[in-house]
Amino acid sequence: MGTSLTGWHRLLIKAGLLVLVLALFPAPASAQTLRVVKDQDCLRDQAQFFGQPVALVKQGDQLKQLGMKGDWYQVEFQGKQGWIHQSAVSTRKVSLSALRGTGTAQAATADEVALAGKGFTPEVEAGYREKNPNLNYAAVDRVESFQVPEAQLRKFITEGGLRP
Amino acid sequence: MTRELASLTVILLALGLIMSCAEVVKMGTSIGEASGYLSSTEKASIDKVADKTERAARPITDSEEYYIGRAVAARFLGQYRLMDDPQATLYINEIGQTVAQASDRPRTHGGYHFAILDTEDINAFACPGGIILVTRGMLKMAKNEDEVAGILAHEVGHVNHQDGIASISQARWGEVLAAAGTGAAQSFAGVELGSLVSLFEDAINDVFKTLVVNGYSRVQESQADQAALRYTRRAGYNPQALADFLARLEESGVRGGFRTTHPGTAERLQEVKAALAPSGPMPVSAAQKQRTARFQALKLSG
Repeated sequence: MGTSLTGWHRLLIKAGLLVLVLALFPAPASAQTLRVVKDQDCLRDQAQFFGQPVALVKQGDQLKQLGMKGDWYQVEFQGKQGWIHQSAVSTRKVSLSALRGTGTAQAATADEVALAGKGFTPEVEAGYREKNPNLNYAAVDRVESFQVPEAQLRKFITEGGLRP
Repeated sequence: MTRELASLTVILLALGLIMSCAEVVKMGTSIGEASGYLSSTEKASIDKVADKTERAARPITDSEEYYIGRAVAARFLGQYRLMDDPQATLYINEIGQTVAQASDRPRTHGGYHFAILDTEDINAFACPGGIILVTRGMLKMAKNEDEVAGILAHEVGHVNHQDGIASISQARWGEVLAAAGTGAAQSFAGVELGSLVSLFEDAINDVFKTLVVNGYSRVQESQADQAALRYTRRAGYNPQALADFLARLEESGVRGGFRTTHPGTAERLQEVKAALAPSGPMPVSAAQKQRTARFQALKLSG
C-alpha cells in the first residue's frame, strides 16, 4: 500500500510540474522576433564571444531568430546572419498602443510601460540629478568608459592560461 | 508521513510557481529531494525554472536596471574617490570581464565596468546592471589574481541575480506603473515626470540601504558565493581561491564595511568549502603561478 502510494505521489508531482512548467514557458515559435536590450552589441560568426563580428546591433533592433545553440541565438538582421548571446536580447513583445502613447492607465501593463520607455528613463535620471547635485555622475561616466579592447582581453585570457 | 511530505511538496511547488516565488519552490524541491520524491537533477532543473519565472515577473527592463545602477554608483562616488591608477584599473577590468563573460548573464544593457575606490575600507559593491566597485583595502587583502577573480565573481553573481533590484518593493513598482501608465498619453510633461523622479529616488534609497546598511540576505550571499565558484571555474581560475580569501578575512578579524554588509564570513567559508569538497584538493597550477606573478607586479597586495 505504502509503495503504491509513493509511486502514485511521485507520478502526481512530476505530472503536475510538467503542466505548470509548460503553462509558464510555452515553447517559442520557430521564427520569433528578438529585441536587443543591450546598448549595443555585435552579431558574431560563431556562437562565442570571440567570434568575428558580422554586424553591429543597437538597443531596440529587431532580430529574426533562425536557431539556437546553448545560450546563443542564431539570428538574421538586415540580411546578415550571425550569433548573439541570449542575455543581450529579449523575447517580450512591445505593445503598439503603449508605443504610440495611446494606451490608458488601466490598459497599460507593467511590461508595456517599461518597454515603451515610460518608466525609469534618461529624462527621469536628468530630474534626479537636478534634485541631487551632490551625486558624482561624472565619475560614473568615467567608470563606464573603462573598457577592455577585445584583442587585449583575449591576450589576457591566453597569457593567464584561462578559458575564453 | 511520506504521504504528508509528498502533499507538502506538491502544495509548495504549486504555490511557489503560481506566486512566482522561487524561495517557496525551493523549499518544496528541498523537501521533495529529502523525502526521495525528486532526484537532485530534477530539483536543480525545477529551481532553475523557478528562478527564471521570478525574474520574468519583475517589471523591469535592462535599461531601467541600468539607470538605477548608475544612480547607485553616483551615490557611492559622491562619497568615495576613484583610485587614480590606470594600470590597476585596467587589470581589475580584465579579470572582471573574464569572469563576467563566464557568468550566466554576460551581457547587460550598459555592460560590466569595474573600478577601485580609494579607501582602506574592506568592501565591494555591485550596482545593478554591472558597475562593480571594489575598495583598495579589499584588493590589498588579496594575495593573488585568482582571489581577486573570486571577489569580483561574487559581485558579478549579485548582478546576475539582480539582488540590488530585489530590494525595491513590489509596492514601489506598482506606483511606478501607475505613474508611468497615467503619463503614457501625455508623453512626459510635468506632473508624471516629477512623481517618477520621486519614485526613482525612493528606489535608489531602497537599493543603497541594502548595499550599505542592511546587507543582502544570507541566502543571497550564499547564492553569490556559489555563483562565484561556478564562474571562476568556468573561466579557468582556481575556485579554491575564494575560500582562501574568506579564510583570511575571517582570521583577520577586520571590522568594517565588508563584514557589516557581508555578514557571517565563517558560515560563508563553511558553505564554500563544502561546495568545493567533492572536487578534492585543487593544486596551484603553473598558469596560476603565472597569474600570481602578474598580480604581484602591480603591488596591489599589502
